[in-house]
Amino acid sequence: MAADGIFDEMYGWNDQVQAPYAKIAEWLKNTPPELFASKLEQAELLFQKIGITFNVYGSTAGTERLIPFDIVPRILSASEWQKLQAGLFQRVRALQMFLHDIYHNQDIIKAGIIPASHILRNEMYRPEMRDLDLPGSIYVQIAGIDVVRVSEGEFYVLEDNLRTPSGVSYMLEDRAVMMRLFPKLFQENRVAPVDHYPAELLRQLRSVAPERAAGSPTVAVLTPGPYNSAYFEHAFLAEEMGVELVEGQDLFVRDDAVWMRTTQGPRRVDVIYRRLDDDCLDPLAFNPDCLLGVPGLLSVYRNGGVSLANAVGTGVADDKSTYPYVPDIIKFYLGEEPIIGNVPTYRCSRSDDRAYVLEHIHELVVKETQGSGGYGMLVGPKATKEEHEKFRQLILSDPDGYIAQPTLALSTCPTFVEEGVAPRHVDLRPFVLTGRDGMALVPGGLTRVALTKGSLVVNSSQGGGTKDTWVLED
Amino acid sequence: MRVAINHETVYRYHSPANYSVQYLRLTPLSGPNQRVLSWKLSTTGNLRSWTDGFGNQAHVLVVDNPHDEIRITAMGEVELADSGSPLLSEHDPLPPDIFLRSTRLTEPDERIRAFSDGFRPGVIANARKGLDNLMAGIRDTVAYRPGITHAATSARQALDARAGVCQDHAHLFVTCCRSLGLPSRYVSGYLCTDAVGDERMASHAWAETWVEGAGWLSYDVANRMSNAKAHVRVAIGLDYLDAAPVRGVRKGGGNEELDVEVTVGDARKVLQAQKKQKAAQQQQ
Amino acid sequence: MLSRTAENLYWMGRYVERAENMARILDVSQRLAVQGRSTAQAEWSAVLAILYAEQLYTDTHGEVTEDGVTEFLTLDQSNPSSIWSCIRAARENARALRATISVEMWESLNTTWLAIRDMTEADLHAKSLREFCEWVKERSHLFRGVAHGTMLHDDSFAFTRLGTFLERADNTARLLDTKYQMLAYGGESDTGATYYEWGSVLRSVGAFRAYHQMYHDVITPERVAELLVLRPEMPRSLRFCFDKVTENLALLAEGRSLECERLSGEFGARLRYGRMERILGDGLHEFLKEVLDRTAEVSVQISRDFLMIV
Repeated sequence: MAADGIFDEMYGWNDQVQAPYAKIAEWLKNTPPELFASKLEQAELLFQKIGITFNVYGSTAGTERLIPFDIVPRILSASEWQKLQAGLFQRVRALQMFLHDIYHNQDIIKAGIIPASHILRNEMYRPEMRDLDLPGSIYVQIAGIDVVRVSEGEFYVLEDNLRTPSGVSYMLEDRAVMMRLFPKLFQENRVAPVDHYPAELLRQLRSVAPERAAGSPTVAVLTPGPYNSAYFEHAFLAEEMGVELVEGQDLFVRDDAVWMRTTQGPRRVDVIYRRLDDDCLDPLAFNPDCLLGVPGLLSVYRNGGVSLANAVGTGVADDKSTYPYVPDIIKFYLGEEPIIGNVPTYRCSRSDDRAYVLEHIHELVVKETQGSGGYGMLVGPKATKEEHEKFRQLILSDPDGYIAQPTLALSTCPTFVEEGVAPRHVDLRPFVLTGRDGMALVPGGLTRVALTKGSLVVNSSQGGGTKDTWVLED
Repeated sequence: MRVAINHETVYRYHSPANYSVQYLRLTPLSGPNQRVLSWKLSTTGNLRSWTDGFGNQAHVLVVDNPHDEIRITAMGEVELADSGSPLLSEHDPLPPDIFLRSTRLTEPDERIRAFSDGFRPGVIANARKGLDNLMAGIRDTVAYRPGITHAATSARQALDARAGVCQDHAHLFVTCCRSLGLPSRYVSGYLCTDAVGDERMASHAWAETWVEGAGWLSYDVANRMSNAKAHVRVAIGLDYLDAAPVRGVRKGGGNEELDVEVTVGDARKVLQAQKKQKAAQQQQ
Repeated sequence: MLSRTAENLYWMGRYVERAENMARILDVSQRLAVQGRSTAQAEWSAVLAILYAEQLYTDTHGEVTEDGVTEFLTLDQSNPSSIWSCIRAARENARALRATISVEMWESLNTTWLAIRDMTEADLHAKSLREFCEWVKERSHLFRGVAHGTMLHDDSFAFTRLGTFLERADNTARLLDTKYQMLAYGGESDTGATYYEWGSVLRSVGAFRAYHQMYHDVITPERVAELLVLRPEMPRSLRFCFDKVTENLALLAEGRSLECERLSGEFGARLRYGRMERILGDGLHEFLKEVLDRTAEVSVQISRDFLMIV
């Protein structure tokens, strides 16, 4: 049953089953608990067999563990999804234009919408990208936009992930496992399919290849290697798309092109879906100590000999300090009001916001912007007086380094926990694809659930789990 | 003044290297203070040109067959303006503020901040005078002595060592200026050594600092010269890594030996010397 | 496929085969040391000679003793050719291939590794050297069987087989060379001794019964040599190995004319049309030296033609 003041996706505000969940509610009621338990075990075995594990940083030598999967699906209606999609497309479109602008004319700075220092002093702004024209002017081919819901039609964007967003492999595997475990459910509910994501991704990646590759561009996935926590996803996507999974050592540069070392000789690569940080892409241009990349890559990139997805330098747009400006960015480039808004955000760099934050810190969530301190996040209502004071001091000493947001009452969704089925907070990460032929969004995304009661922390590295996400077809 | 430049870089490997790739920044561009009359870059291997984000003319050299030597020759003639005028920001792709950020080689620590703070009042009162004093202060503190530092030495380390070469002086100056809130950048290029009488400085590094109302002012700390006149500008960047004449990696190749020979001289003198040599040969 | 993948497959095959061959050599040496005419010391020195490991052994262990050489070749972690090191290397290559090879293949190697990883000399003495060698051979058979049964017989399989057969050719040549020199120059035929010594050689390559099926006669060094050099029916013969190498190279070349295939085929022809009397007359030792040179040449050329080594 729903908790006070928190919208439950299944039971709404008043224990009234919401339309999209009607059939699932029945199913939950009528299925004996032992069956669920055994299905859950089956799910774990399936995941183990697939090998979808998660290397936890900081734990002893590469231990792999499964990310908990919850079998109650999270459901969205077709009309809700329409609105989400429109909002996401609008947002990503504006961010592309923003990125193009700050690496070219910088009109948004000249117009006084964003201070120059905010862009130019941001570590993620890469001088290496200055004046470079990209195919279709597309900087972010794959965007993971984290969205939360607070009531029936009310969504907010929590965070943009425009560098190397991950998690789509969980979306796909969760669906595959659900269909194996509960085929009948998919007969009774008309759920939009998601398994065309790899095909769609490949199509979008191909579309941004350099001109000379037109016709049959070669795409490759560049991974840091098997010790990276998201390696499973790199290998999975490469396999699903039918392209090579390469490491830096498999590639070399020559003649304004990037080549793979194969048993049939060198094979040119036209589009690299890179899951490496900017800093590691080219030791001759970025961090000389990082050997995961390809020396000479930047020169080929600047000469238009290879396309990178996502582009170098997108981090300035998904930085937490840029987040408060995104509604302005949408208005500036598209002349439109945002369809889906930001969570209300206070910028500590602004004096009136800062004053408010310092006074109401016990009610707010305080987050670091890029490259600050490393003190983490403060969840005001849950923290001690000492922690409040510590963060007050941090804000005073480095106002630019912090933003604050009201604690959101994220929606909850019924989840299997020790005491049975109970509501737990969820968020959603849809994956927005952009190519030269347009944008695409596979209906669904990754729903992350905080498994601890009352917890708002959904990250898998901190004890979160995932759910299959359904978008119903009308 | 017309300057003739001959810059030869030779890498030798004790056992053959299989693959090497280098970024070269060895091509000066014409600008308000210099006009490139002729320039040739020659080497064996796969050479492609490209332009980096700072506007530098760069090349990428790939040698992908077994080799035990790489020889790169850059030569030509550049006409320098009689008096160097400060560069304005419209000559650059990037606005000055980009040069406020610190890098690993130009990261300030407590000592550098304290050192810079000593010059702050002077710089606020009169930027040019203040920066001249900063230059003198750094030069007095850090002696010009080759062999103590190396290419990966940071500004902090150079200050601690109290000795270094032009690269270190430039890094330190740039770091201090940024600490004082002034955009500052690293410049790599050539110095006409007749002007300073020290041939070791032919391949040279100095700094440029942005002063509102004036533009980019140049500071050759190693030689205590502001307003560079005998300098041929080749590349700029946040630090040495962005502007280095040659920056590369290789696979295989055992121990490496690097030989660099640069001659930068007044073109007329070079011409006269050549004429003399010819005349002497004819007489024999 | 990526050159790196091919390289991993090739070396995975080579290291497993190397471990197996090492076990075979150890096994026969032990038998001969017990019953042979030569001293135990000579026998164990001969083993080190086959493996070109005399210097490394002297540097790390000093005097030649049975225990010393046994430890050196089985569990010595600082010897890159010990069985321990070979299995470790094979497993490392397989680990890089987890996306390519079947789960069973990975598990067969990983299980072998986990068993030997923490083995001590004491464990070894608790069993017997013979048992240990049998175990290594079994694990190698298992690996090959699983590969054959679960891998698609495509390029991946071909690269693995290349590694296996080049290694086998190299090892067979070495074994034969050293034994032939040691035993054949012992003078007149001393039937009893010959039977035991050459019988042990045959057993070490699993060919004791095969010999009798083929020759129905007493064991002579010349015929053992023929069996191991020229007979196409014998899976450990040089002829068989080179045929397999050439066959797999032809498959991988896909119509291109590659130097490695030419080199392998050229030598294979000599084996196909060779006559043992001729080879023995010209000198078996010289011939086997040439085999070793040739396998090394083919190996280097494979790197050039397929692996784009930098």
